[in-house]
Amino acid sequence: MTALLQASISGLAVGGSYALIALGFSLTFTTTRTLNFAQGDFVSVGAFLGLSAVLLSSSPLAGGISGAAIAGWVPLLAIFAAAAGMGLIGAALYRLAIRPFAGKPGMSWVMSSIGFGIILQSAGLAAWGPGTVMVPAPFGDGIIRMFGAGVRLQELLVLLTALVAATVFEIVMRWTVAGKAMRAVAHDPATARLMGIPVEAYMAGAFVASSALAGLSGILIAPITGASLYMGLGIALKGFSSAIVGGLTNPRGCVLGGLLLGLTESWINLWQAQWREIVVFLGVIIVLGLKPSGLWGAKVVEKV
Amino acid sequence: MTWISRPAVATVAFGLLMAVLAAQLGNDYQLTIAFTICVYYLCAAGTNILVGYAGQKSLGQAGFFAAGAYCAAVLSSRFGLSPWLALALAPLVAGAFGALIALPSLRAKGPYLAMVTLAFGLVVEKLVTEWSDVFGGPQGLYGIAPLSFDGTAFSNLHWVWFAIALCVIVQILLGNLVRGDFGRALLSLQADEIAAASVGVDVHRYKVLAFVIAAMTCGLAGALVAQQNQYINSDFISLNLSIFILLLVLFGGAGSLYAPLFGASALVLIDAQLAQWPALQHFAYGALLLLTLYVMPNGVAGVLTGAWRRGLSARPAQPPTQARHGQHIRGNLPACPGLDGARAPGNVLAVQQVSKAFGGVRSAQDISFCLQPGHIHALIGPNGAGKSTMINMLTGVIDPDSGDIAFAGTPIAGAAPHAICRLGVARTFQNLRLFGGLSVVDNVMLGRHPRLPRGIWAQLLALPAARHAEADARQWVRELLDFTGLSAVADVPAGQLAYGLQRRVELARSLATAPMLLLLDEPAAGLNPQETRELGNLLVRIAGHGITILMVEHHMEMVMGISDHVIVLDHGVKIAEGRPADVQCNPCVIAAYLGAGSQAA
Amino acid sequence: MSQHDLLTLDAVHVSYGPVHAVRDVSMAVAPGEVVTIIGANGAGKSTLLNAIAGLRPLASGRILLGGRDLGPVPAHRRVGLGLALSPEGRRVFPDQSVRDNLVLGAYSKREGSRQVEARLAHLFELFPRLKERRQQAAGTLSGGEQQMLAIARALMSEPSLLLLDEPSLGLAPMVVQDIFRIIRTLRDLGLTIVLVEQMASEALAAADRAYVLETGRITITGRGRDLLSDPRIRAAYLGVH
Repeated sequence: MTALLQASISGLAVGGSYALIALGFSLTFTTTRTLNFAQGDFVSVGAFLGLSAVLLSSSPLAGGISGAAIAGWVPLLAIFAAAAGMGLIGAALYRLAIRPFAGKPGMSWVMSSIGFGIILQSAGLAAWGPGTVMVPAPFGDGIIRMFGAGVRLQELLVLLTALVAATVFEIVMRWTVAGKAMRAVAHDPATARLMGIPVEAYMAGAFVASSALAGLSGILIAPITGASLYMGLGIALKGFSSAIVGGLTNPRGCVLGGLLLGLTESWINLWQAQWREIVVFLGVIIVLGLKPSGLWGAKVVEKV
Repeated sequence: MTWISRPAVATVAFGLLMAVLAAQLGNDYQLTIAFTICVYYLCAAGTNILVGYAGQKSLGQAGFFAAGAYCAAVLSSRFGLSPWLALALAPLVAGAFGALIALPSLRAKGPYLAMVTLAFGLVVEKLVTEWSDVFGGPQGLYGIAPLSFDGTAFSNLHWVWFAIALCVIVQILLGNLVRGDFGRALLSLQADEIAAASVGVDVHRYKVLAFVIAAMTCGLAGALVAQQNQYINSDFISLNLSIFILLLVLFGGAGSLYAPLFGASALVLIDAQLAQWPALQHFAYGALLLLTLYVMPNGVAGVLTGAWRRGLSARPAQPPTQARHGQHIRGNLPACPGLDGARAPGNVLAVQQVSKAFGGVRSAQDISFCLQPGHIHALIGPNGAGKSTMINMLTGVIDPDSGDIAFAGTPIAGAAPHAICRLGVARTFQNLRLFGGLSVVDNVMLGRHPRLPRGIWAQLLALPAARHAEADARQWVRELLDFTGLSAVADVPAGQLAYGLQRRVELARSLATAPMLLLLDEPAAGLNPQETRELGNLLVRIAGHGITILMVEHHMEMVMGISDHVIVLDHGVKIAEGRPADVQCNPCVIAAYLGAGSQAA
Repeated sequence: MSQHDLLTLDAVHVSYGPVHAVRDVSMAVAPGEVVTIIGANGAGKSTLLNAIAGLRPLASGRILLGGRDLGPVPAHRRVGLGLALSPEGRRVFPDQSVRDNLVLGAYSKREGSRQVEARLAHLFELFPRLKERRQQAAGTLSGGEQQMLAIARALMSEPSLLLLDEPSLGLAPMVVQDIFRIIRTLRDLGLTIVLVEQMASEALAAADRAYVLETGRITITGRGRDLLSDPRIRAAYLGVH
């Protein structure tokens, strides 16, 4: 029972990072009908950007990443650097690899975003090398006891951040003019234009936000998995699966999908660790066989 | 050379040339590169059918590669099966996986489809990694029996020769397939599934076949790799392989028969050159990918055909895209070998109390009407009256909520669009749904699809029966183009024609299905007065051949001029029907059209 | 065309790929005028309005608003210049509330919530039904209410020129009367309106002047009341000679 509870909380934490990425996918898909297939590289590079920011700020004092240096405002700096840095790169992605191909038939935007990601990854490899860096958790490696189960602080932080991000997203979309305008762009770009909404800018904004979420996810999960430039692929694939299973067109569905996927994965882990991925992805295929637009996604209707 | 096509001869000759060149290669490293090119050619050849022709996204081709590789490996290393037999079984097993994965892919679209294939590739990757009892995991399977001839195992040169032979066979077979009806049907899927179904293409069947073909060639390639290396492990199978296979096709030029050749040879050679700088290699992939998409969206094949065309025509030859009115329409509607008689007396179509609601909007409420053989019926009404909904229900695009529809006595409510087309109901669309990239002839040839033999083997092997059927259909279509006045533009891509001509191409395409009933959704929309008059004349002549017509139309002069019978809908309700003159004077109709305040002046 | 025209179209051509949807259309609208463009389905009326609003590029010709060439101005900037379009088929944002739809209509004003609230209050006086339903999702409104919302949303940007595209589309006759009552009210308030309609008699009755569009060309022009009894109008619609 304790094991199950512990697994559930770990699952929700990992699911939180999937949810962040899934939310980003939903955002760009509803506004531009495209996705960043290189989101994995954005997660990895985001983690390293955050780390580098910490390194740069602490190097005069300590000359390296040490537990002592990472305190107070430093974790916030890391999170900010990861999110803002990836946001900027996201704008470049939109301009260079998405906008020229969006709306064209075929899958050129899939390939162009993958191409952008490969270049980003190569740049990352040149800067940081291929090794895995152990990342100390900002609030220490403390473990909290909850109902007999031990939970890592960092796991709680990931889950909390995901929930906060989802809530902020919800609030922005419902209560601010920018959010309402974003929803209008997603629903009907031509009519949004008639309202005077600069549609292009909002589409670029969707990619900035989605990339920032990927960076955020990377810097948060790094203390759990360690940071490497190959860490992102698996997380992004699960994030993509979450968004697809939840329904790309439904942001809440995407967040739910992420948590669900994380939980499932963690439970299967209790039973047979090596079957984890197989069962998860088989499950994705089966869900799509039954519900081709995901569990909570809107059905696409073509007008004849 | 009557039984072998010219492309086949050329392919064999090219293969022989390559085999001779391979014999000149100095060392094993070069032979390995030649072999690798062949392997990737095979992967790309089938994937090109799936991605370039059928237009389906697949990010899981590595899964099929693995199916073939491990099939050959397990069968020969664990069960001691002959390597030749193992090699023959590998594509079949991979093909079965293709059919399996096609099932959830049938309804999924866009990113959802990409996810299905991606997840499939990942499942296979994890399976061969984790299930080490069977697949050896990262340690891999050793001792896979290589191919041998007369008791001697293949040398490196033998492997290259054998691989070239396989490539030649695959190229010829796939060429046969895509040059005929099968290829057109796949292209129609890519362009527009709804239009494809409207000309009788069984969308599901062709999607499954495309997946099976893609799986089979990738499986064959996998088996070759396993046997040549005599070893396979899970490192071979990765998402990167799936992406690389896609890149081969896109770089070569998806949708061109030569894409796999260009893609495989160019990328393998570039790869070999860059191998000395691993860091750069990775970066080069990304750059190459972006560059390809920017400067050659149609790949190497696109660049070459572009140059070829420019070389052919020093002066800019403008295709005759403007309508030349009237002068070419001649002859009669060609007799149809496809449908046997069955022009039964009585109603062609009987609609009884059909209803349909979308959300709260009732687009059809208890509508009933009958269509008489050889008559021109018009379905009119203000915008939003439910006319297009009715056409869509009659053709199976939308299922009615209740009511019966009988075509020549057969109930068709809720049947699949392609099945309804095969029964003899053809249609055109309000917003033209032509296959814009295909020539006018090919568009109309697609209309022959339901009347052509469906045997895939005959087409694959280019048997005489298939070639005769194709030639006959082409001749028939030429006559139909004469009848519709389209002969002058027969070879122009339909998307480049003037609008009026495009409308006529769509009409010709629907006529090619040899319908008993023709449903036209706003055939005169966007036509100028001259074109509209010509259309009216053409419709009268078509009806003269015994084909029943039901048209939704707003152009009242034409409706009133040529219709035998007019049905008026308003807000989903039939408010009047009868002879044109009666309907014109009906006060309900006038109110519906001009507004309640209008006087019947 | 006088110097004082609010909107001037000069030999405008619009094409949809190979389709010449609008051919050589010239017209002028004076401040305070209600001008209607009528014609059968597919005549190019909506294409013409979309071109004025900037959603469709011109193949050739010029469009001037208050003497200023709109050519280089993208659609979303035209709203700020005082031009608002209530599009065909209403196009309300169905998952957002009536109030939020209206707030989005004021997007181009970039102003504080006080001014927006003031205008909302003003519009709710004009459209009491919308006030009752202000918290409801727009998708749950009836067709007529959605049409009112689309018009009100366009008015939120305080346009000097209001373009209405087929406001009667798919509405029951009683509701059509309501919509035209609103249009007459707006006219009496002094708003300049270009009205595209299929319902010829209502549109002609409400308009000062009218243009008849057939297959992309203007074929008949005249005063609204004069055209009401013109037999050519009926011929254009019902094919009666």
